[in-house]
Amino acid sequence: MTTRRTALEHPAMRSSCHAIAWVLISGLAWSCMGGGLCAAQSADAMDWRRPWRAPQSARLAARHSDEYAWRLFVAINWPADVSKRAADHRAVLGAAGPVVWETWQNTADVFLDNGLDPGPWVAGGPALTADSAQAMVNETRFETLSPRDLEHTRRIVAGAMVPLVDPLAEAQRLIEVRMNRVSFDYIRSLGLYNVEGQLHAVAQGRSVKFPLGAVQVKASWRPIAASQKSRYHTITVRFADGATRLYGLTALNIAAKELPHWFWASFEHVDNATRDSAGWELASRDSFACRGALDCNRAPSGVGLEGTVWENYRLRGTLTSFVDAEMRPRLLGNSELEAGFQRSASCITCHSRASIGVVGRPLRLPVFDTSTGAGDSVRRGYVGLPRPEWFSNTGFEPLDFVWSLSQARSRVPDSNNEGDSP
Amino acid sequence: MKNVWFAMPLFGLLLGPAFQCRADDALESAKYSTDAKWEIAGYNNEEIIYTILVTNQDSRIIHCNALLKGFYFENGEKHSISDRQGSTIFPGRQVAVGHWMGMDQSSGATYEVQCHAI
Repeated sequence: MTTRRTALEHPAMRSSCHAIAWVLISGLAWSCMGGGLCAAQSADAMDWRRPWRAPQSARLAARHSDEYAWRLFVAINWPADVSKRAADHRAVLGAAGPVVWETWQNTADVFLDNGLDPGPWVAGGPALTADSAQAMVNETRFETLSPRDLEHTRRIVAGAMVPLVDPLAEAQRLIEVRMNRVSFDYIRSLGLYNVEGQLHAVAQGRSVKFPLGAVQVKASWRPIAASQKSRYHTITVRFADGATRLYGLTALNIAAKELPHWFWASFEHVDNATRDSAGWELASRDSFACRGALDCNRAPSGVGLEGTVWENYRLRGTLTSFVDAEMRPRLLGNSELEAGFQRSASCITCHSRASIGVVGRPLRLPVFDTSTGAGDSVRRGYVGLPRPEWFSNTGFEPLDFVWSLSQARSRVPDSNNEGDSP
Repeated sequence: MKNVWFAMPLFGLLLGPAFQCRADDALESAKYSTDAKWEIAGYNNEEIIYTILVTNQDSRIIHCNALLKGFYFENGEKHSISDRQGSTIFPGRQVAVGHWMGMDQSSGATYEVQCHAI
């Protein structure tokens, strides 16, 4: 049974200026009001008073990236009022049920197979029930191999080839990409939901530039045992055959258009660090949780995570630039979402290649760098500063770091775009 | 799809990645060509898929049987595996007789296709 508390009971607000010492050190002036609320007086401090509200500050995103990432994380993982597709400020962080980003538009509901307009943002949203106690979702929200594209696929089970009945049910992890209303409305306003709309937009010389407030997330879920439920944010997935299975959220990448090149943050469940198959190949960098050493492997204290499933998640790092002060590529690899190429992963550089070819067929630039001669079986991401020749020499127009636009289909049958899609 | 490797045909004959065939058994002979490739697909390109393609170059409908042999690893041990799939192909059409997931690409795979007119 889930205990629901009011937002005023949220630990970030309930604590009596838990960070007084920190405030004194940083020289910021705070005032504490009745009820224990702390109000930041400095424009340079993060406002945690209404943690369910997503922040929107380019300055704070750039100057306090790691705290900003956690602030975003808390806001979009706040329990949702599904009917409003927004945070339920009466609920408390960690309450069972769908969180805010799970009510956002799934890319499958944005980029339709027939390339048609997905229609306006609808209250209630698709593929979610209003049952806040048990998030039961259909499998259609996840990306994977399409059985439609690969008919008669067979796989190995117990030494024999058997039909691949349901790629999703048999996948080791489920991936989904979602966008908030600002992102969705912008895509609709320019008709970017199909290939023709994207070509039209770039042909008219209108750069695709998502507005401030646009947020997109990519999430990874794995099957978990019932005994692990208390450690994970969970959903129960209903598969095509009616079977259901419990999944835990293992990773969440967040991209927010606070900065021209977006603000990038990558989170993972702490259990991923030592997962047999991979684990974390890059050190975490979290100056907010660690307050000193960057790779302390803990969640921040005093922001309401204690006692919730969210205290089991870790910030792997943030990105606001392509390179560091010495012009070395900045890396950020998530063991789930960048599985297989963590050591050459850079969200910001990879996504800078989101584009559409305007010469010939509307192709996409490849996600992986095969120019190293290491062979196609070795997946290597692009890192460092984007190169102008990626676009100008080959007739590709950038699409503002939004890879999901590559999922757009043509309105003309049999002329759908090709190319990699991350 | 990208990243294509071609399989060597069965029978120990080095016939190249794609080759022409004419069935001369008791059934109606048919003209067709075959091809096979390794592809990587799926999210983050984590799925290795082997595909056998048959093109009907005959004026008649043909039926083809494909025999696949390959290898896979389980608990660090290498195992062989085989499978057979059939498909009916209309004139002038190319069909993927099958897609197979989970085999080890570096170990290679071989195939044999036999078709006859129906």
